[in-house]
Amino acid sequence: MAPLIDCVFLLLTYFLFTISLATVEGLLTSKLAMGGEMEEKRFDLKLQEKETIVRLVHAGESVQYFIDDWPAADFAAVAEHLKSIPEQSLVVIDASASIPYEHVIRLYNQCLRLSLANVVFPLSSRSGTMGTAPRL
Amino acid sequence: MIDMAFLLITFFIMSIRFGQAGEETIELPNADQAREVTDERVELVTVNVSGEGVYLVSGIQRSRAELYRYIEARKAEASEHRKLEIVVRGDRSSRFENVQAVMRMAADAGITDLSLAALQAADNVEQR
Repeated sequence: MAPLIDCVFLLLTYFLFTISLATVEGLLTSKLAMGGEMEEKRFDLKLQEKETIVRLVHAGESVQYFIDDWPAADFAAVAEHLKSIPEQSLVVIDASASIPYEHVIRLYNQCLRLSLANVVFPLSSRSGTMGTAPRL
Repeated sequence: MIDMAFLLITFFIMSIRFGQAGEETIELPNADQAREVTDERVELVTVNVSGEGVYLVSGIQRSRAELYRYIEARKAEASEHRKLEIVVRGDRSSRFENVQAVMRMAADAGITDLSLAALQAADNVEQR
């Protein structure tokens, strides 16, 4: 009996040491525009009056945010600005290619938190290597 | 006492996550708005994007061209009754262009549903 309980405790100790506080994985769902619809969306982008473009660019080691080409002090300033726009507004997240993905997700998550469902990631990069835009 | 110990061990064994090879190297970004998708009518194609921009699908490393062909093939195989959805599991440190490329591939293949995987936790992006 003693060796068995030793084994059990050994296993228990192993699991206790190796367990990581479980964080559940989830999905930020989205819809991609495509074909003719994508062209329409692109057209909409130009006509959209309530449109906010948030640009993320590298500034040295940090990330600089621009809201409609105006520099924002930090992410908190962007979040504050997003609070002030109507829920139906179109938000364009224009991140430069080298931006770490976590910054883009953070911004998209903030939009969803504020019930801003019309979020677009332009696929046409500034370098012109890509083309169409997914609507998220 | 031993009953309790067995109960605990059973709990730990049951809670172990089994993932595809390579997935464990992906450190997902945090997003408290991330939701679980439980729709059985949706067929998920998971594309892992590592911090170095390497694409892994079902544990197999693929180039951009191979990945596009794979997505196209899956789209062609997909039944009319089950929607195909691309899930991008991007590493938090990966360059955005690597994820953007998958978005582009999905759009080109005619797939309209795309999800971005994240951990359901408050964001912890370092302020630099």
